Amino acid sequence: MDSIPKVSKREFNSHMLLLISVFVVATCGLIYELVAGTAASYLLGDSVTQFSTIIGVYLFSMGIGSYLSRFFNHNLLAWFIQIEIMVGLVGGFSSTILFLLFGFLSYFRLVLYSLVGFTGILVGLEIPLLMRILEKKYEFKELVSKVFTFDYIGALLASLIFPLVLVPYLGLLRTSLFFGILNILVALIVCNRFSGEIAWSGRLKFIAILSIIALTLGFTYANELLSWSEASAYQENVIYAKSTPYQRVVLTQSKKDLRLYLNGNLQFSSGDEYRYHEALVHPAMQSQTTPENVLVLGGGDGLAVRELLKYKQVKQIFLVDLDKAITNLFTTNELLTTLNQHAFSNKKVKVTNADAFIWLKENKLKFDCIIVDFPDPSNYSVGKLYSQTFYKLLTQSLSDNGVAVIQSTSPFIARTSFWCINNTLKSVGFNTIPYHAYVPSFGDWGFHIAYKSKQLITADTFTVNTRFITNEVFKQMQMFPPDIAYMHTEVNKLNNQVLVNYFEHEWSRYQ
Amino acid sequence: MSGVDTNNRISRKSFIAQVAAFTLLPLACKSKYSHIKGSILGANATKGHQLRREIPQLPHTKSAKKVVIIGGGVSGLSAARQLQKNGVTDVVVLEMNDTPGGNSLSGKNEITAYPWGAHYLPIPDCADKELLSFLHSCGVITGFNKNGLPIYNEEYLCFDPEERLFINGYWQEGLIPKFGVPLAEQAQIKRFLSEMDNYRKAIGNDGKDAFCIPVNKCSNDYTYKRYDEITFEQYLKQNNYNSTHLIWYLNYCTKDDFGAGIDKVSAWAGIHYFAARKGKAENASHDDVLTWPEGNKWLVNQLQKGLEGQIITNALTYSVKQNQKEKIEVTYLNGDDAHLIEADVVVLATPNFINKHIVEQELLTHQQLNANAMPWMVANITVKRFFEYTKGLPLSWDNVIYGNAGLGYINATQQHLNQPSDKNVFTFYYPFCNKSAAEERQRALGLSHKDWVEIIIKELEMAHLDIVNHIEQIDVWIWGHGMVLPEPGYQKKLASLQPAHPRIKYAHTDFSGISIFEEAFHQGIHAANEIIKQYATNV
Repeated sequence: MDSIPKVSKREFNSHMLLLISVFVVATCGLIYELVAGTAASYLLGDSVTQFSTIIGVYLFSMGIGSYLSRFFNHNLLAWFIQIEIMVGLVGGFSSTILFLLFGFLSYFRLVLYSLVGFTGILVGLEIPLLMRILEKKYEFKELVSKVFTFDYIGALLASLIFPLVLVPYLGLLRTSLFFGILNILVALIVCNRFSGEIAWSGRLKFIAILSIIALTLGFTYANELLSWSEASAYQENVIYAKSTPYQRVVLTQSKKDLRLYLNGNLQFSSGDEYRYHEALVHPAMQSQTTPENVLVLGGGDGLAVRELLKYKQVKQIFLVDLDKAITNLFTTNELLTTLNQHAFSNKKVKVTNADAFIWLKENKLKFDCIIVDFPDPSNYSVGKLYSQTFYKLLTQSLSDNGVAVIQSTSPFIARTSFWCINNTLKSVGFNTIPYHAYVPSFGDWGFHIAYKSKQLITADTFTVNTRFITNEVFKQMQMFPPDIAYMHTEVNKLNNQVLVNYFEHEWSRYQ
Repeated sequence: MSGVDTNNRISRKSFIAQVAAFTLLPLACKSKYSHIKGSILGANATKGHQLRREIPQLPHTKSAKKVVIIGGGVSGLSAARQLQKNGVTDVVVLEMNDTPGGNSLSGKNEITAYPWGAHYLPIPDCADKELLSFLHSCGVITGFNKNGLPIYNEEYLCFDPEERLFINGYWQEGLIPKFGVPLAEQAQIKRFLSEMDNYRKAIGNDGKDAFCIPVNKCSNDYTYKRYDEITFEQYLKQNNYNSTHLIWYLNYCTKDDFGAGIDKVSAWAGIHYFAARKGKAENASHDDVLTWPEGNKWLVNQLQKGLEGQIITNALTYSVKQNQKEKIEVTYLNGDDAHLIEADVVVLATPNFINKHIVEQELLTHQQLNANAMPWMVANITVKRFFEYTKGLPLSWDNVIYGNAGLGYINATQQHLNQPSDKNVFTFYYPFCNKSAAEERQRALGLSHKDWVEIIIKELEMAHLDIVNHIEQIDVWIWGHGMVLPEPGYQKKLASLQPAHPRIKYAHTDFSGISIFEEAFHQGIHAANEIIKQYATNV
């Protein structure tokens, strides 16, 4: 404390400014770390692993930064300001980058850890540099005491306000952007105060102001960058959202599972999708002795294809899905390809992005098995894909002994709709086997096997590896208790679209 | 914060202000509609109006044909097709435009084909064997069930949802007003419809249907033909129909089919609209329609099949005369060159008002109808997909807004089998019918593209508040002479026509008084059959 009287008031203020900047820098640093950890848990799930690896990488990178600080020997203040600006930019935009890139990158983790590492190195440089800037102004013991006191107070503040104030009120994107702005503001103030001691101070100020503008723009348009209003409509965390020309694609992640929504309708939950896809694929496939050529209509998530690839006899799988954005996502995204076991990278699989109706109309090939996995008939456009005209095309693309299977919505919630699909299939000459399976995230879910031959021999055993379906289970699936038993309905045609009306009526009653 | 250089703050502030000014200034200067592209097309008025001048030109080539058909609309093509089916192949069709079709033209962009005019065909009456046979030959009818009822190809039957009406802030199903309509009015509407139902079943004292298609098969019983003497409006007054909603609906209907309101069309035509459609089918009913993205141009393309080499487009006929050999000389302009064809018989498949400009007086005896045709505007609107805040039925084939002067819009992609993309085309129909045909024509041709955009958007905004932001392009087509107006006395006028010159045949809906595909189709067949009969007796 005896060094204080030796300095003028102005000098004292300068020192205090630097110490306050230690405080802000420390707060910001920890915030970036927390943001990265939280974003990774959002996007990849398994928060324990994410937080622990990110803290590890971050601290280690700070160590690297501290080591690197020895190579900075001149213009320390200028360096400090430049590092501040850079850390503000990288840290500030880190969550934005993570959210925006999540859908496009196969090596998402690499980007994630690189960002964390880079931020860590920059933050690691800060404190040693500051200490050296201040080393002439304080006694060593006082310097260490002061710097680390401010450092740890900053850390405490960050760790408290992050979960209590920032995430609930600002959201992840804005939190990191806000602290990026704060970080650069410190750089600007320091730069201004010490402009006499810094070469290029004008240029540094200009860069700092530009960076603040960039971050402020990001802050203002954060809502547009990622639709938080939409995120609040989902119970889980939205980790990916994109509007394609055809639909709104949303991926969510919670502790339990990963979910895909199209136009707000759940397509699968990673927790129980195997039940759905085993029920969809295996009963039909097991009825074929040598299913060589298989067609999947819809099913751009590749999960049905994953099940199909369990059959060694299959020579070729055609998948026709409307939306390139979906098939691309499920071909490249690490998280999603883990789920479909890289189904679309298999040589047997040929993915075509086309409209199923038009594709089928022009198709000349015959298939042993056709998997029809469209969204529910909740509007008149999708309703066309459940019409008599569509099923006529389906019969033409099926080999004589071939078999088709059609996802047919829930017979419990939409009993009339389910049997309407059955009656429409029969109206074009198909024989059908209706069945239903319990998929917890969906409820009681219905399917139809459709075939042209007189009789379909369903296998006694399921020859491939399954977690859910067995011969006994499949037998039970074909039982329809009285509350969901067969009922007479009209046939769904392009010019009456009764199915859409049934469906809308039944689901609106349920919701 | 105190350490921040005030100069910097100012410069930052002014920087932002400048950026804002540069980006916002052009926006402020722009009008609400300036992002909408498009132009006024069609009408071919300049080309047609060449007929008003003398064209002093010697023919470039001379040739001979058995039959020359002037006009490549549905009537002309139907005549050519019927002749060909009966072995008369030395035939040529002269079409003024660069493509045949008459009122059934179409356009195309990267999203879809769309109509520029006629765009649907109601399920025909089973008694209309010729039309059924044509539809069978082009795959619209796939077969007949054991009761003889046609089975229609469902790709061509209008997909559901078919019609919706925006009324009292809600899109109701069907076009007959009911949502929020007072019960007394609803009862009146019901009474009207059941009366029309009776007319649909009515048979005249000559054993013919009181109302049917084609018109020339209708009964001559005065009980029904007397409705030709009064306007539809007078008929409604006489029968105590005064419901605002009913009157609006009937005006909508007559404007839709005849291009004018109930004050201008005859009661006979008005009733015909409701009572003549009696189609039956295995998989459709009398109020179902057949439609295609390109509208009736699809049917035109089917009619044209087999007529390759017989149709000359860009051929503006300007003179039809008899020569010393008593044959008919037809002269037409193709580009800058005039060509002459000597024909045994000429079919005038042209609107009646054209004939006096091109055919010499001696050949036209007693065939002047002085028919009126009201002008029309058809617009094709490219829209980006938008969210409908309004409640009720979603986008349908026919979308009508109650109370508007226009007839609403058709969804051009309704018959697409594929899933919708992020853009769509709406075909918007707007008749001019407040004043006389000539006055309305002048008004229609005087409006600029900007005027049209404003008229269209104002109408659409009644139901789609923010549609202007979603519209990319509006192309406008003006039909100077739209469809024949069935004024009171028109059927009588038709009945009193004297026999035509033996070498001139007429095939046009002006001679039915009702401008619909079926009439044009039969006009052509009728003219062709007369020619075939003539040849048979001459030989």
